[in-house]
Amino acid sequence: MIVRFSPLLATGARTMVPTLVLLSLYLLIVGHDVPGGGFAGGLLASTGLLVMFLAFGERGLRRALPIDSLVVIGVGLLLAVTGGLIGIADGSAFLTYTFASTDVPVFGQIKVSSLLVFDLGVYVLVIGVVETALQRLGGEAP
Amino acid sequence: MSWVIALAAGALFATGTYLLLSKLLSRIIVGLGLIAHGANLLLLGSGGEPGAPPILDGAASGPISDPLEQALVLTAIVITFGVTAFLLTLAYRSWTETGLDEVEDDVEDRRIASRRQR
Amino acid sequence: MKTLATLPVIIPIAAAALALVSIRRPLVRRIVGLASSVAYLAIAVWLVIAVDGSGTIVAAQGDWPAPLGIPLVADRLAVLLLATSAAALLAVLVYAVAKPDTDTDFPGFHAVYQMLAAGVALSLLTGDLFTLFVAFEIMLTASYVLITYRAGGSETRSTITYVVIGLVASALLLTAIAFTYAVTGTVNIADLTDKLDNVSPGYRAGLGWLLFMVFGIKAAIFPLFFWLPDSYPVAPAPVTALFAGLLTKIGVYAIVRTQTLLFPSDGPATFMLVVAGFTMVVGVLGAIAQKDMKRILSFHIVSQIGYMIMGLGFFTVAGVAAAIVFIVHQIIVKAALFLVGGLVEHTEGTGAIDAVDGVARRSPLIAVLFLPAAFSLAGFPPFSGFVGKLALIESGFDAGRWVVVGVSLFASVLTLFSMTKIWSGVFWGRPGTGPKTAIPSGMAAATAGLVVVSLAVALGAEPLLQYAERAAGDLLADGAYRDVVFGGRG
Repeated sequence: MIVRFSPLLATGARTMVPTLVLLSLYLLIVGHDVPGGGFAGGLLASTGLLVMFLAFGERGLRRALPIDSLVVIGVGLLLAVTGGLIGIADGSAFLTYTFASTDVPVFGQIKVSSLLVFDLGVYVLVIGVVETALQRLGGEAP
Repeated sequence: MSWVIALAAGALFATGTYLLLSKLLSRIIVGLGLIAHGANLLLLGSGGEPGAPPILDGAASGPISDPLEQALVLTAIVITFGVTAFLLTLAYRSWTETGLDEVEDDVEDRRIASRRQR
Repeated sequence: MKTLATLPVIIPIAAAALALVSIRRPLVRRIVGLASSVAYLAIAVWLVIAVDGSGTIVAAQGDWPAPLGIPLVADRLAVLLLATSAAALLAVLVYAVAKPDTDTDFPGFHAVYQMLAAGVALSLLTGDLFTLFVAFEIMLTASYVLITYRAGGSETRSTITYVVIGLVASALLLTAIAFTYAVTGTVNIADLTDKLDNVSPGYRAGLGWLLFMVFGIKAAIFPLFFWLPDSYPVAPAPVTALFAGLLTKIGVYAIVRTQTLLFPSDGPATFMLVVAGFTMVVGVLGAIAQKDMKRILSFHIVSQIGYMIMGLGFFTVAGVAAAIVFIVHQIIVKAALFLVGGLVEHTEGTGAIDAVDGVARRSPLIAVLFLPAAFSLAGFPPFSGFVGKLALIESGFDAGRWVVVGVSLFASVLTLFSMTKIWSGVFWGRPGTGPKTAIPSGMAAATAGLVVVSLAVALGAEPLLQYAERAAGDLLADGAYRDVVFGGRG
């Protein structure tokens, strides 16, 4: 069965998806003390996936993220655990975090928390879960 | 707890329970969703009085609202979302396999019923 | 030291992640899963020794002090059950790996299995009511996947019942947590032990009953057990064995934990004994009416839960200690019996009593494995069930609860009857001439391992009982739990 995708959506997706991903990365990085974080960022990035899926179908999904979605979930989970373990390596409890702030010329002061690794894990994990759901449920009815 | 929240939670539980007693799987799932929403709403209402946003460097004057129950409810929502998605997948599979959306009777019930017919 | 108490949660999660990353490499998946389960068992055993020697370990996650953060509290009860669960988890995993179709059926098996192990560890160790909810969700969601992955056709319906019941119970648990938080302003169990004293008695009793009911659904007590015998037999043998051994017992653990720590003065004690009596008798009567090994054993799960609730209902140190010993015995023996059931199904193709005959002659090994486990379930000396039941009955006499003790003895006789039904139906008789599948040695070894552990429980009954009494003492001593958790701040 040939599915026709809307050219309007396809054109829009080309500009929309990069913007969504960029915005999601912003949310991920600032998440430690203003609203945002790995989960919100991950969801926003997966909206990008969703747009790709709507605009180009499963081919678009594969082009956007050419890795097995279960592997993506695994990598995310692994990153999250690693982020928690940083505290243990530091000599304190699981999930303990430390701050470091640096001055970056253009952006001004940027605070980096060791929990960013954990947040990055959540970000990747959420994307993996949404991709899995799209693959398994987004297909055509049998 | 605001009485609006309490009332809304009660209504959600009541409608959810009603739908849960249905035989159609899709209704059961919607009912479960409503009950979970009721529970989440209760959790949200279990905190103190509302106030300014509890953000670290937000220049809040006066009392801030309780952040804990919001964190709890967020966690609960994510969990409910995940499990409901799983249940929907299961219902979808059951539908593709049998073409039915109906939840049949208990296995034992059916066995006893068929024995009586004989 | 403190980190070690966190490891039983972290290791399985990391292993699940690795199993997902290597989703295309079956061998790597298996090695990761087995290595994780071995490490889990080793740490759990180490924790038992350490906690019994030098007292409860409190690990505050993120270094947040007690009422704010989420503490993991490794006390005697938690680590004992952790070690027992770890033994069952390892044995069942070995069995599942040896079973030819596990991996090919479902590549995600090891990842989900490890998440279930993490959920079990977190449920046992957490010192926070909300985290207990999250832990239950991790465990149950994993169990939803395990019970449904092979179901097809009409079986899907049974598993849907299981998932729906699980979801309703979770929503009710959430409601109970919301009420608790509304009246006390905390969900930390140690903090709650204190703050619940200031709550009006009626409200406190209501919370106690609500929590009892919620965990009662998970533990399958009368009259909330109906979902269990319908759904458990559907799953593949190792999965059923794991569920039978672990999941309901974690529900019982949650009942013990919350009722002893939070509602010691106004726990619904007599009500609990009535429920316990009905659970024992109705469960065992259900078992007698069945004609399939797995279904008979599923009803026995329900029946045996009654004994544990009975021990708790006495609300004495001896009673709770006996209940703890009984939980340990049940985790091992139930898993073992279901694995034996799986072996029969594997060799004969079915576990229906009418269809199978003479297994004792055809596969003597299975019969040898079945006998000690079955005798143990019925409470024959010198097996582990006898130890648990004797302790329960003694504590019942001491507490002056004659009626429920009488009921439990009656249920024991019926249990024995139903075990002989399996024996005469499946193992005795003229051996059939149908085709027979050979048992992979790993499956037999895993089952044998569990049977040996159950014999070891019987041999080490005296030290185990003393340990359980110390654990029960910790639970019932007023304020002890609170002091430990808050003292762990420095």
